[in-house]
Amino acid sequence: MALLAVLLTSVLLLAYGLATSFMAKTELEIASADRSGREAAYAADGALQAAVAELAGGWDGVLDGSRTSVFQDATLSPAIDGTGRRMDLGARTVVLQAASDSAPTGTDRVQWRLFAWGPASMLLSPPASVGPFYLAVWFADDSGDGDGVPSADANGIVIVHAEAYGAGGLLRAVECVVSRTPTTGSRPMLLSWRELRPI
Amino acid sequence: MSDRGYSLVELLVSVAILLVVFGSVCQLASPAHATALVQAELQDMQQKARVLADSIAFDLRLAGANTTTGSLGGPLSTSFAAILPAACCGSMADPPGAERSDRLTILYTPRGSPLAQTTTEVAPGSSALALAPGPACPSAPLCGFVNGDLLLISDGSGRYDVFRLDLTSGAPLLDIVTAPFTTSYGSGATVARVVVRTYVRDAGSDQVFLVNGDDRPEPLVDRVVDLRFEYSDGSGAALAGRLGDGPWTGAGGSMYDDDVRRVRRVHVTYTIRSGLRGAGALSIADLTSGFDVALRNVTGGS
Repeated sequence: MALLAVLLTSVLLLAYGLATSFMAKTELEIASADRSGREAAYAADGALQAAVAELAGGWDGVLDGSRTSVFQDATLSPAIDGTGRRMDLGARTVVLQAASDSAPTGTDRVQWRLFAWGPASMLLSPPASVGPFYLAVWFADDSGDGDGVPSADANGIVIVHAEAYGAGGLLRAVECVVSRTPTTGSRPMLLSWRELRPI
Repeated sequence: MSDRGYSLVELLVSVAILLVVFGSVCQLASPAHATALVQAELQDMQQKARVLADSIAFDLRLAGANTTTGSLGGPLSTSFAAILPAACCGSMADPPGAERSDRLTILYTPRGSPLAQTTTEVAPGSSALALAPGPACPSAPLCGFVNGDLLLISDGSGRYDVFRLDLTSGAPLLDIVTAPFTTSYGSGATVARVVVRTYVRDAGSDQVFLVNGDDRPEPLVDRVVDLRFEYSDGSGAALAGRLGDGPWTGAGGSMYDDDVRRVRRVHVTYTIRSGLRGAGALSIADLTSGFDVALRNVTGGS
């Protein structure tokens, strides 16, 4: 009788224990993913701001690819997490381009050009304070430019798109529109900023 | 025990012992059961809080974002208020110029919207739309706008109106959302797609509804017993009580207090109540939290 009681109690308590443990684990995973997503969005915004700051002297050569960022990794297919998963930035550019081409918004074609890319620790300092994200930034001339040449800017406005990648397929993207300022050497003026749901 | 089986006394004693044992087991299991219930409820409350905070913060960061099209771009806030302290449209709309601490409307253009200019006056009652071709207008005559699009018209003076494009009759007609439409827009007024997101807490059901434009309100989160929006300007000064007392900009359904354009930061406070509240030992305290969002696309002024 005593054995039966002990067994019954054990089974019941084990079931409750397992259920509670499973719920706690799920909650921790959700909270962790939520936190990582927010951090990645901030990291992407950091990359965006850094790239925009590089344009303080103007963006001649950026749209035709003759000028590149100081923030550049050695490879275009970096490993972005501990599992060995690699990100193909060339393929990512194609995805961005396809999304823009499928919904034209002006007379000019938006043509994305990869400008800066690398691990977050390479861009931001101190490295230890940055999450294990990989960052990439693209530039494009705006579709309302009106000159018909995607590789040259005629109206002093460009679009900047930045993404942060992390473990488990994490992707966060931000985008802004900036215009030249009359003052030489000053930071471009922000016209519009938005966080994007993944494309 | 003999070959005659158990006696009645033996059976009664056995049943009594069994009852005591199973009673004890149930007593032991009861706290574990309560813990499991409370854990699940706490998890649910956290998830509700995450959904509510994420949705509002995401939209607030986009408030005033303009199209990426370019030449006519810039924050919408330079043309009119990108947020309103009330419900602007639809079945839950507040009177024009209202200030409510439990309702918030956010306006921004979606990524890649065409940006067009009118060629003729848009007057109350005319409800017709003629757009000029231009670099940010990819295809004539409607610049890529399609039937049912939610569009915004603004002339840069602070006045604006939101309307749906109605092409069912063949001609572009404006179905005004920010009714009554009492303002005329001259030639050269800007037209773009717009996202209008209104957050409304219904005190009767304790639900927070999300209204897209003038669509039917969709429940977002339930058991929200408090939702408050507090506004401050660039210096951090609170603007409570000053967002519905005039002077006014615009007219009709899109009229708003001038001070609304001074808002630079929104503080959101919310309280989620457990479904187990009042359930004795299982009662869980309300989850109250809050966050601040600086409006990224709202610039200039104080």
